[in-house]
Amino acid sequence: MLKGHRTWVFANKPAIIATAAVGGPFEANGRLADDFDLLHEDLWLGEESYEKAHRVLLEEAAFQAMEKAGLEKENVQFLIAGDLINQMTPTSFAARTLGMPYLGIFGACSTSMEGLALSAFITNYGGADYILTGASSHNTAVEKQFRYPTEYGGQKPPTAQWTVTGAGVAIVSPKGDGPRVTAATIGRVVDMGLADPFNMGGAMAPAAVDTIEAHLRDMQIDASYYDLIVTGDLGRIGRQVSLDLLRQHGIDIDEERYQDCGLLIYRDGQPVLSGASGAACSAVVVYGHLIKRMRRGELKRILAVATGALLSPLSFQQNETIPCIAHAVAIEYGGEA
Amino acid sequence: MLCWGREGWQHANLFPRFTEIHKTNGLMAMKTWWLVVVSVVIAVSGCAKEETEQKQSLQGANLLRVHTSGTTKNAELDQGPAERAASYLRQRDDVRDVVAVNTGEKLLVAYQIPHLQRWNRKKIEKDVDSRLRNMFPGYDIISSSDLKIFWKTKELKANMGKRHWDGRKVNREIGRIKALSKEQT
Amino acid sequence: MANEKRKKLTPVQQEYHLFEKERETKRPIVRNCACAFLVGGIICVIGQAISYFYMYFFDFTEQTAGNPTVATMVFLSMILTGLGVYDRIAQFAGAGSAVPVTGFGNAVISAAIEHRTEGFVLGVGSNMFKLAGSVILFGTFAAFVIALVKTIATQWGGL
Repeated sequence: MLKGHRTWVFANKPAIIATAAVGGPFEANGRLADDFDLLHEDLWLGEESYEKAHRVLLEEAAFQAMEKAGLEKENVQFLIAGDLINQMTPTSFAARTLGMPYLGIFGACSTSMEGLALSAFITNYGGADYILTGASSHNTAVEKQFRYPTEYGGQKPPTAQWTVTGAGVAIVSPKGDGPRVTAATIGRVVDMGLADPFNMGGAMAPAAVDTIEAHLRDMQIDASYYDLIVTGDLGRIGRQVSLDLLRQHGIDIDEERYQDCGLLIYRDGQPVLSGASGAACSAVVVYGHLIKRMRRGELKRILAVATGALLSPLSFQQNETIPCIAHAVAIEYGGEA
Repeated sequence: MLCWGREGWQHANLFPRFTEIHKTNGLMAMKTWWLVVVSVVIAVSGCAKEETEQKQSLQGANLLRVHTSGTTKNAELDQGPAERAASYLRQRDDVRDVVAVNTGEKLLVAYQIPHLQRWNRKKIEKDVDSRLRNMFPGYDIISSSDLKIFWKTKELKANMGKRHWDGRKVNREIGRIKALSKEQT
Repeated sequence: MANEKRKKLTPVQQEYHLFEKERETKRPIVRNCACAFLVGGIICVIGQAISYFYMYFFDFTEQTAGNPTVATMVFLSMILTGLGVYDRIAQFAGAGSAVPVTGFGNAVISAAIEHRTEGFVLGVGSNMFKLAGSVILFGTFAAFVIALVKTIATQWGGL
């Protein structure tokens, strides 16, 4: 059901019955290493190229989630997923392996929540029994495409972010037990004229603020309704900017309850500059870490706001600015009104 | 860790714990390690063998040892012109160190230029060359400010004295040094 | 450049730019300059040591020792790039490792390594000069222009 301008409220409250998170060596060294189902020692994963390894990440996560849910590939109706690579080949090739009907989506780093919103909508209205949704990214495959060859000695500024190597997936179903998706707000493209691809946090912050405001306005609640509002990959700079912007717009948010996946996933000693980013960032933290916390009862209501920067290496060279988007999904467990 | 994998050299982590520890210590460990490596390299490079340059001031002393073995060839080893050239150059401000060798036909002068004067190197070289040609019209002048030529000329001088080379041999050596100084690539 | 772009932005966007600028972590310029100076200097010292090595042990003069020195430096850069160490040095040193010839070597070598997965001809062959191509092109072009200027100056200016 549409509530307000762009928020869906799911009367049937579809459940996330299983999740899985897979990571690479950097994530294995990070703060949330225990919340991953599978961790790899190197970036090749026994494959011949980084793009092939990227595909393997999503496949492994999908199989892990299905195993946990006790499902076979044939039971799942749809796969709704995406990544950052050109033409989304890793996800498409993983869909080939998984063999289920496939809807490829692109939201840059906001893909995970875009997928979750769509999955919840479809299952809520009886369009499917089980939908597998997720997002993945691979550090060196993304660097190769968006920036420079991985061994190139270009110095990154302190505003740059580190792309997560990993995949996070969830299986959404109208029946079953698990944290429930209660609402979702679809973001619109916000472009505040920033053009530095090494400072995406600053570019994405306004989009996150726009979506959070729209959500709170449409649902007619205020920020204290949620135990945690977590953004996808704003990083240190984006988080600070968005916090100040929200306060400026009159939305009072407690700093403790406003976190960023990009800052949660790695430890302080790791050279990630301003924080983590990548389609997998929000996916692994939400589906790996936060869902586990909800199951343990530590969190009752969260709002996951995945943010994405919709640029390409070409658009930057053609002097375009960076348009951004953010999708928000409300997940509740044991605290439904 | 680089390993020979299916597709050539690949990164494979054979020592995950080790690299973990290193990665966790991050930038500080990298910086320290590099600092150590660089200091060792710099320290070791100081051990390069360098011939002493004090011999310069003794130039006139040993080489006038005329061998009275009876052949006329040895008389050609008179280093008078070389000494004169050297003493002229030594009094110039823009030349630091000189070594010179001559035979009956050729005069080989090698010198070094003080570091700050290297801006004017070409000018100094041309000037020295033309002056020497004026001073010693009968000789085939070879002058160079190149370090390698300098070392070679010193070596030649030492050999001349130690092994009592005759004029012909010295001419041949000077010819070799001249060819070296003309090399472009 | 940033100011020009800002003029084409709406007032809201301009305001946001200033808002964001205040909260952005600034590049530590002084520290970067100092690190670049140190590392660049060290690389040059190593290059000079290699030069002397060639002059001392082989028959190279100061003139001709340039070639093997550059070749050796690029070789060292290749080893460091292949081992995955050069980009870490570069994150610390910035321009200090990018400007010397080792940086040029790193640009070519890293691109070659990266595109190995696409084959030798279309992968390595076409992409190897992705970063270094502009250096070569504009370097040659600049040399041409300077030579032209010099010729004109000597012919007409009597320089």
